[in-house]
Amino acid sequence: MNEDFLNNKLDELNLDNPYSLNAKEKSSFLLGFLKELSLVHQKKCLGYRNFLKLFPGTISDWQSIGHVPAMPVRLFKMHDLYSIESASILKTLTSSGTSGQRVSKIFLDAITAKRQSRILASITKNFVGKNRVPMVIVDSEDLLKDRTKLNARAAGILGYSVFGRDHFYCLDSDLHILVVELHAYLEKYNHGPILIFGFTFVVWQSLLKFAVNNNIKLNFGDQSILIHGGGWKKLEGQKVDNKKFKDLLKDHLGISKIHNYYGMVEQVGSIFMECSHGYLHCPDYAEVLIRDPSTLDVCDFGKEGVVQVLSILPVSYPGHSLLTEDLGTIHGQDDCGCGRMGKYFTVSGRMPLAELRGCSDTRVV
Amino acid sequence: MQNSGVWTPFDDRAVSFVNQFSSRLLKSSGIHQYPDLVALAYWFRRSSIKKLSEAYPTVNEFIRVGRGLSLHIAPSNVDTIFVYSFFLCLLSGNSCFIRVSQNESPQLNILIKVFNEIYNADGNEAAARFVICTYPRDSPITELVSRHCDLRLIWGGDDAVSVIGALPLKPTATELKFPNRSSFSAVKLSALDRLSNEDLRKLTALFYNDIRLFGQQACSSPIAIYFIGLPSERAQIDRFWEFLILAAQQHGIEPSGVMNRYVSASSMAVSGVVDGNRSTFDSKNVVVLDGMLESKIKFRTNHFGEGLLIEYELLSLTDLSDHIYAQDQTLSTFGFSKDEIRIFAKHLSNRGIDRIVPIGESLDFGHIWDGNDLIDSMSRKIDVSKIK
Repeated sequence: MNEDFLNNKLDELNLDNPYSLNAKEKSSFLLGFLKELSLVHQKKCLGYRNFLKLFPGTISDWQSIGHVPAMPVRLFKMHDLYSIESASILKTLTSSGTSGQRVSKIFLDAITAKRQSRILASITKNFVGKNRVPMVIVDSEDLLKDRTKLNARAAGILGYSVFGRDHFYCLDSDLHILVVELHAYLEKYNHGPILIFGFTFVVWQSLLKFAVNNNIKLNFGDQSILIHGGGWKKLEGQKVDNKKFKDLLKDHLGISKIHNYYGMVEQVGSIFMECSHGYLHCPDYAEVLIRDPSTLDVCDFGKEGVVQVLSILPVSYPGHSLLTEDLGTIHGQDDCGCGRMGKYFTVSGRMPLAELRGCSDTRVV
Repeated sequence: MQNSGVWTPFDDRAVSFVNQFSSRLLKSSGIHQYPDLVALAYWFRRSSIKKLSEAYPTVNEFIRVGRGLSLHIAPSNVDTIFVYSFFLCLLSGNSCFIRVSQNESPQLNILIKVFNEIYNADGNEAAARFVICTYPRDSPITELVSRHCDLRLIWGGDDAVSVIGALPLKPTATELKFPNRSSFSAVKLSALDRLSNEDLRKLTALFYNDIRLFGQQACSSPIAIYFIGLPSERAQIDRFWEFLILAAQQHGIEPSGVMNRYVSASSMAVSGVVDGNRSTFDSKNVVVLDGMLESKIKFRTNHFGEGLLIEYELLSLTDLSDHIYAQDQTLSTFGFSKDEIRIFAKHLSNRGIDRIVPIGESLDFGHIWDGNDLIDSMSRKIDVSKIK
């Protein structure tokens, strides 16, 4: 398999409706691309070639997407993995790890980066429509200073900012809300929809909690849409779940169209968006499998397990099949009340991970 | 405590304190769930301390006494290590300041409870000779005590050893360091061939015990096996794994262990340490990877334990000496004569290998540890050999 041929084939996909394939169509469509991607990575990435040695058989033996080995997402924190010449690396994405933790490093060339943006646009437009509307970004503009080295938050903001116009970053560099400026912005635009984007934790900590604690009511207008993602881990200690989050957003900020998304820096672009029925949806270019935490075998729908995410986008790095450390449940396929085809699922949190007991007090991996 | 002076080794007061601890620990509730605590209690029982003391008899040439105040920095991976370190030091005649890890565990809680009971009981002079405490790693306490102690023992990862080791000691003080070490096993295939199935079942159960305790993450836990023999004897390797998996099936590991083990195996594969895999990643399995002898990076990094073994094949035990690194600690063996072991040990050409033990005893503590006679190192000798 030649990666130029694969890149062309991927870029010829019709992106009008990213939720169009039924189960039967999708499985053969995905398996074909995933096997071709695996062949490219096997040829171009020594680490991936070595990784495949852990599994029996060859790529041509894979009969279903469950056979595509899932690379532990943690490996991107331990190894530099890419399938392109190092001169072709356009940018390196890193995860937003807390200090002291190792961060994931994801290497993108121009073609893969562009594809990620196109697919993200295809998915996002399915939820927010084609028109670019005024946009509030719940973060500080300072985060975007160095564009060659982007962490997950900055990459997410940049990726989403193309869907709106007249961007307003509503936080200062200390992540404090710019109240006066935000009021003025809402005054100006509250007659129509506003697109709001932010990371779940930042939206909570800097915007929503501030409004709740100070009993401030803002009105973004009932046509406004909030898209947020990045995970709930930091909110667990604050007893805020998705439902409470939505209720408070409606009460204090007047936002009722709220879409969480599940995605990660290791698979930018083919994100899983939450529909109006509260389920995360697999787009045509991506898939989710749930694996039993004790056996790592694929589980049936309805059973909670470890989330494996597959995407046909990553050609520049071997991130097309990843085992996350998140727990989730698939609730069905092709029959969600929102009308979208594909699997729909929920993510319930992180796997409890045993601390590694090296001789040292802490060994952060 | 600084003024509590030195005692001679195996002073009755210290021995009686240690014995009391051992018998109280054995009687404490719930202890039988924790084989590491049972092993600790047995190690310090009366008869075994008496036997240990007999190895350090009173002689004409010198008088053995303690060094003074000792500082112990305990590791977080093996909860019982601090007690071995503390008791041997107390028995050597010293007073002890012990910093334990901030990670709580049921084992640590039981140990502290027993210490509290003895501490509160009357009549223990030894009780005034130690402090067990915990505080954050970056606290200035370690630096302060380092300045005043006569002996410092650092058990920990390489990072901890170098950070704490850099803190100044008194010019007269000495130090013992116990950094990261790696351990593995060697099995003679022709000896396996002679084992009945029942004996092989016993051997693999012992081996499984060595990797199960401490999540295979202690310095002495074997993480690789070298099978020694001819290619024609390979069927014995398969037989060994078959029985080991049977042993594993009786236990199983937590999902977090399954994940850590999968990450570790994947990382080793990506680095080119291993060339194949003969297992599934099921919790009731051991994961066996084919090691590549020619690989420059070895199995020692990114091994997260939980039942992951790297398998190598060699023609003879002496060939193994080419694959020893300075950090290697315990070699647990099956099937070799003492002469074969001696010849192997003479072939060693670097700092590596401090213990060679039978399979099943990898995790047993010894007063000779990491190449040091601990009683010898924790005490000092007053030379009186010229006095008639």
